[in-house]
Amino acid sequence: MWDTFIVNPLINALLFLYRLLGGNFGLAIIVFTILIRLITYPLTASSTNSMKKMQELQGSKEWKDLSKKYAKDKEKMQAEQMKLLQASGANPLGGCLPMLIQLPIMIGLYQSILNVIPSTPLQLFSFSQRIYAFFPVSLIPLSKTFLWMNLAQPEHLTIPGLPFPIPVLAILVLITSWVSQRIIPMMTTDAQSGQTNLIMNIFMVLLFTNISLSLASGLSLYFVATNLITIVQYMMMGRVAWRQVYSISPGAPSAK
Amino acid sequence: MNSRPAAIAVLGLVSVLLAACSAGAANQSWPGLALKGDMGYLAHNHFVSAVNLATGQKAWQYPEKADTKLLFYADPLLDSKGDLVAATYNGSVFKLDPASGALKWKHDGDGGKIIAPLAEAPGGDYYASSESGDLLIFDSATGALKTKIHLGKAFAWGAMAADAQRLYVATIEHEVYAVNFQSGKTDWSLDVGGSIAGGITLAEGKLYVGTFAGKVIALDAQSGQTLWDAKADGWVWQAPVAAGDSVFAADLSGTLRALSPSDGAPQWNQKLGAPLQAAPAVDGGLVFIGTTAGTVRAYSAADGAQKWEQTLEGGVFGTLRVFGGKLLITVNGSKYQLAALAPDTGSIAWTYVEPA
Repeated sequence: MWDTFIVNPLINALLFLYRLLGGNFGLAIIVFTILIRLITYPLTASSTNSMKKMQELQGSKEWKDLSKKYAKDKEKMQAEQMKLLQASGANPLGGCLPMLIQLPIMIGLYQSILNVIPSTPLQLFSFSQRIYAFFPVSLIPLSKTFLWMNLAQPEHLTIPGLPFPIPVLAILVLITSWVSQRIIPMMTTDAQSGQTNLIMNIFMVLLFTNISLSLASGLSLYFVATNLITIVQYMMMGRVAWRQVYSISPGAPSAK
Repeated sequence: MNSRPAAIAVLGLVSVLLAACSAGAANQSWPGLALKGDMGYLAHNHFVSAVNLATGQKAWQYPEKADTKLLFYADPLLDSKGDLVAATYNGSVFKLDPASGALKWKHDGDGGKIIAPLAEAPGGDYYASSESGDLLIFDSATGALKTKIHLGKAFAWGAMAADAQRLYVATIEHEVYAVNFQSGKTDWSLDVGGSIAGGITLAEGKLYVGTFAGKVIALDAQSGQTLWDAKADGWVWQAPVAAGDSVFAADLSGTLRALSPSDGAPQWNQKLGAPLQAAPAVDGGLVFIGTTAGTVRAYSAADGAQKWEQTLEGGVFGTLRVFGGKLLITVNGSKYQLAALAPDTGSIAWTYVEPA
């Protein structure tokens, strides 16, 4: 079900782009990522607006007054906060629901990139079972070369004179993952949640960097492209928190 | 509001999802198989194992402990002196004593993948096709890399074939090359219009390949001229098998077909309803074939009449061979990796589970 409705259509769309772009798989990944992000832009915008609304509410005097008033009665405080949320029309799930809807698409995209550059016999067999009958098989094997990279292998750039190769894409993934996560204004102003957000940010950045060091560089290219698009999207929405990017303290409030 | 439990839950979910996705990318293949005397030699994942064909019991394994850097893919080569030679996905080559599994020599690869089985030249050297597009030529006595022949982008995923003059290399990049052992030059090459994943068959001066473009093609080994081609219903993964008055080819649409070796005219075909990745085996007037869904069938080679059917756990990938009175089948996606069946009835004699 998952493969039939998510991964396989994405694989074939990627192949369509590959063909359209003259057999350049790196370009196909970048264009495909841009297209997917454009299609899901309304969800991203909705999520951001919802987060903004929540953040404004949580920074309001009424909210703070409630926190103070019911500091010793958490249950009552939450009930009152919920009333305030309902009155203001803000939805506490409004920020994460659109993101949750996007999640399967992002995971499907991730899996489709992994599947479309088979480098082992079993991967190639799996690939053969996923492509639609009208795809011209004369295009197989797909060209995996993009700039200096073999997109089916982890990327390392060897620079003459340097005794060790440089994992350029992994470094780009690390930087862009950090920036793309930290420029998103924090939804909450309390220190505990800020700490949790920071831990999540660091965890995700390290996870993506580790994946980039060990898996096909086609995936790293996707990570870099999607991170850059996220940054551009938030910049276009005027909702960036540059101070958070340069800070590893949890409490940096959002800034425009 | 406390967001810590939610954050931990999201972290956990993302970790599990990404771990699952990453696991799917692990290098893997079905077992390779070589047969000699009363032993079968299985090359798969991190081991080469020797299996007693009478009992299905392991005689030895190499290495003793799994080395996760080693991934054995292809059928090992049993050379003219009886030694066993196996290559790994990272380009390393191992020569083993088939009686004990003792290492005779090892060539450390440079990371360039080797997927196809090695081939032995008339002089005894071993030839390997590397992802770099090079044919690597190893000294059989020492394992030293003697030289390389660069074939452009050519990379073989399936078995090469050799006669006294040439090595025939069928590549995933659509080309077939005839490399002259004497000169080291390419006598001829031909673009067949589709990827060749399963290697090349040489029989009575003719070469046979199957392509992802859905064709079975016969070439003249001497000149490289196309003698005939026949259409299949889907990707042809493995090299066709020439036996008697027929050439047998299986495709991923699930069709097994018998063709005339002289002009490719269809003799009969059978549809099995699931992809046929493995090459058929022919013996005693029967053709044996297995699907990736685990169905194994025997047909009459003469007219395609079905003789028996058996179902294996997992799927049939790679090899079916009749040897020592047994039909030996390499299996993927099952708890066992090798199954031995009775060729006349299809009953399962034993199954072999490789070391963990």
